[in-house]
Amino acid sequence: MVALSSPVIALTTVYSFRYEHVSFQPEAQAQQAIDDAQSAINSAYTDLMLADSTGASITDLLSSLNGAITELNQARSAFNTTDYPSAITLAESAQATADSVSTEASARRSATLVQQQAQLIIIIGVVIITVFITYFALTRIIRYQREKKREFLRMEIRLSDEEDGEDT
Amino acid sequence: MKKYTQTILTLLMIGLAVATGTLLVSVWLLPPPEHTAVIAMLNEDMEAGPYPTNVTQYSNISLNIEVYNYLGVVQYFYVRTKLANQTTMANATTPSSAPIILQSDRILAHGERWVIPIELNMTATGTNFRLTFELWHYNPSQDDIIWVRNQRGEGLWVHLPLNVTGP
Repeated sequence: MVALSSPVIALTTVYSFRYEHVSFQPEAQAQQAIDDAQSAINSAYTDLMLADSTGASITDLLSSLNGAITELNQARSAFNTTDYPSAITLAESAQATADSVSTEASARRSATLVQQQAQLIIIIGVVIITVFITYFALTRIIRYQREKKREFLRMEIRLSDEEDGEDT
Repeated sequence: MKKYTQTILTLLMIGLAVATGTLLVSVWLLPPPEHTAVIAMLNEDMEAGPYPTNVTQYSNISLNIEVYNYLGVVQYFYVRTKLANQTTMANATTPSSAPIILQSDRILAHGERWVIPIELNMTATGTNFRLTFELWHYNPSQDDIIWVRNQRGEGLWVHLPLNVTGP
C-alpha cells in the first residue's frame, strides 16, 4: 500500500507544480489554435478560389470549408465562455478540415489545368489537320479539273486534225 | 499550278481572317458580365418591410440579411453588424466607425444566396440609431478583410433606422 501511494503522491505533486506554473497556458493555446485555424481557412479559401477560376468542381469542398468556418466560430464561442479545451479541440478540427480542403483543391486545380492543356492540344491538332486536308483536297480537285480540260482540248485538236485530213 | 496554290492559300487566309475578325468583334460588342455582390435586409417574414423601427428596451429584433454572390468566382464574405448613430453611420465611401456587435462569415459560390437570421436584444435606449449591416470579404492578395464595393466604388451596406424607448 505504501509502495503504491508513493508514486501517486509524486504524480500529484508534479501535476500540481505544473498546473500552478502553466495555468495561464490554456487561454494562450486556445487563442493560438483559433489563429492557426483562421489562417488555414484563409489559405484553403485561396486554393479553392484558384481551383474555381480554372473550372474545377468545388461544390463538396466549399461545403467542407463552410463546415470548418462553423467549427471555428464554435471555437470562438467556447473561448469567450473560457471553455479553452473545447475551443482548442474545435479549432484543431477546423484546421484539419481546412488543410484537407486546401490539398484537394490544389490537386483538382492541377488536374483541371492538365485536362485543359490536353483539350487545347487536341483542338489545335484538329484545326491543323483540317487545314491540311482541305488544302490537299482542293489542289487535287483543281489538278483533276485541269487534266480533264487539257484532255478535252487534246481531243478537240485531234478531231480537228482528223477533219482537216479528211478534207485534204 | 503555282497560281492555283497561291489562290487556295489566299482563300484559306481570307477565311481565317474573316472568322477571327467575326469572333473578336462579337467579343468586343457583347456587354461584359456585371460582377457584383448584393446585400439586402428583410423582415422576420422574409419580406422587404415593414421593419421594426420603434422598439422597447430589452425587446427582440428579428431580421434576415440576404447576401448574393455575383462576383464571378467563389467569395469569402463577412456580414458585420454595428449599432451606429448619426455621427458613426456608414456612407458610400466609408464604413460605419461603430464597433462590431455581431459578425457572420461564409464562403459562397458564384450565384449562391446566403440568408442570415438576426436576433438582437436591444439593451440601449435612444433615438436615431442605425442598425447597420455591412458586407465585407477576405482578399487573399492583401491578406485582409475589406469592404465589398460595387462597380461605382461604393461600399455595400444596409441599415435600419431605430428608436429604442424605455420599457
